[in-house]
Amino acid sequence: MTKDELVRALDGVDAKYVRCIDVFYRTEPRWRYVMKNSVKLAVSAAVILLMVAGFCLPHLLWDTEPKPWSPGAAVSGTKEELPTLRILIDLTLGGDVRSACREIEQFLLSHAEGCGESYQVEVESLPPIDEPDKREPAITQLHMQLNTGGPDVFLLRNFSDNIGLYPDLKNFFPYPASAMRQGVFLPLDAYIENDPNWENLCPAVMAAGNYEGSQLLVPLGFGIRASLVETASYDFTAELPLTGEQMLQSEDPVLRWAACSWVDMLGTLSDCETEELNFSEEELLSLITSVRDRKDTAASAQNRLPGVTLIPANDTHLNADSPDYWLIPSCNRSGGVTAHVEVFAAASAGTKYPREAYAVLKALMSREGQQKELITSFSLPVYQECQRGDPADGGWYLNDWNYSQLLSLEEQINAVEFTTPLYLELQALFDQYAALSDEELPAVVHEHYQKMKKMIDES
Amino acid sequence: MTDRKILDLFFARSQRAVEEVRDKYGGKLLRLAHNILRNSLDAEECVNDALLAAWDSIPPQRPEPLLPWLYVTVRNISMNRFRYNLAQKRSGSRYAIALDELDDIFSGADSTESTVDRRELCRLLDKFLGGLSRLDRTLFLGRYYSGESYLDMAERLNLSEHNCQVRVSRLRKKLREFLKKEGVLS
Repeated sequence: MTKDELVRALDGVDAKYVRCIDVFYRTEPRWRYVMKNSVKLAVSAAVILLMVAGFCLPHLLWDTEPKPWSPGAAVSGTKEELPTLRILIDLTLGGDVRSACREIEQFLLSHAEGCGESYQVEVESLPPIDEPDKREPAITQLHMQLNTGGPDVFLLRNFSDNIGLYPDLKNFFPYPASAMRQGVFLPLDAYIENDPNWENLCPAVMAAGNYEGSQLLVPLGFGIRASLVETASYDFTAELPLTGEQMLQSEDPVLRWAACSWVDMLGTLSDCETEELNFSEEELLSLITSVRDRKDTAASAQNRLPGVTLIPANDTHLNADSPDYWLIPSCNRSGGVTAHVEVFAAASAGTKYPREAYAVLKALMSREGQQKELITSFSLPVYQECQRGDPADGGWYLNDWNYSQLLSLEEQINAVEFTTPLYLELQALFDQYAALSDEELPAVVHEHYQKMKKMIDES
Repeated sequence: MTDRKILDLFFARSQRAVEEVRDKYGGKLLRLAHNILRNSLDAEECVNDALLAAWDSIPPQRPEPLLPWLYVTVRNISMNRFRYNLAQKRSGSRYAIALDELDDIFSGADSTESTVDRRELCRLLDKFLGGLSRLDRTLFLGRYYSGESYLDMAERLNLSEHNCQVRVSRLRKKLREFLKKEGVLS
């Protein structure tokens, strides 16, 4: 072995380690670091003083009964005599989870019925995904608590790891459908019956939280992928929905071109009851090959955008200045549109405060809640009137035509997927299939398919 | 702008994506390239090449978070240029000085042994890094991945320059022992 070999091997160091060099590229001047030290000293002194005070005056200041482990960070109201609702959140990629907790707490104090008056909330966050050493034990510990109490309400985003930076990334409920089946969540039907707000929410997406006729979970934010084609440049005459196969076989090159996402075309990936994949390896290979072989170049043009994710974070082409677009999805095999839930919430089946838990969920689903970027994580709010955006904000906005196109897509939703390990495995295949040769493709598809089968067995 | 929003711009094939990356991360990327090359023009060109690579790779890739992916891309491009410059004898960068220190690891060792498979060596390096504390990992990669000077590392990590040197020297020894134990260094 030579030095040169060692130096070349450094090129291939795992990206998860590379991120630590970021510390050298922060632009903070040196005085900030000095100040940080001073702050650390001041905080340490304050902590010591508080500890001494806490030791001397336990009954005068606050209840000193030890609390269970508080994951990540927690903030709570001060009225100790009120019942406390524990809210577990997992919304931020990294960084300051405490401010996210505080923001949710403040929001609930202002918008959840009775919050701060008849009950208080304690908002805690899972450690972020860039702290896997803390995150995984926290998830395990909280799962163990589920049978004996634990959080009353969950507000969670299922994260994805696209470049293998966190290969062991765990979400709290990796398969939300399995959690529903296992009876982890409180049925909400009795409360929904008396909640007029429910009618404002996209019904097809909300149905993803329904198991055996009972609403157990509430999606809060979602996304749909569609290709954008300017109406001025294209006369769209086909009647949607089509099946993915019909799009691929169409005489119209624009439809073939818009059938760009075979992941969406698979629709619902697995059967929750039988715990089996809804497609065979042969079907998967055939679909990928068809999408790869489609003749799409003729349809590409400057004013046509393939597979755009329709979410407010993506405001470049859908804003107050946008032209009218046809929004054409990659229709799935059943002849409909596939939506992806990004954020969801639920109440624990073990909560002692079901009415209060629903008040929290209701606030999250309200117009005000749905306008908060932290709650929807920049995805499309389920509250349909909030989906248009505000032209005064200068970002995401749908004019009348584009909004009607979006609503039309939502009417065609017949498959809703959560971000599960299964979906991510397909996404990983999607990221690499274009670079594979015809000879390599079957073996790679086989490998991913076997992995997915194993995943579903273990889900 | 968030990484996610930038990635959506890439997916929407908006040129603004590249501008946003340049605005948000351009300074960091330039410094990494400059550490390796010690030449502003070369460094700028490497960053431009990396942005072009991002434009070509996203989609279908969706590297979130974006920054580590950009670091890897910029470094790979800069290292290719560094090796080219070295062959042309146009080096003398900070990074070259850092690499000279790695001779410690090989002093007295038989370097004529058969070559080690690169992937295996990458795996071993990952294993080595995985066994280090976060601070030691940062020091090791700061010095030998991005070519930081001891003074800069000391300032950024709130250590003394001497402490940095001693720690990194111990890490080299540790790596030497590790590679011997793994049987790739005699």
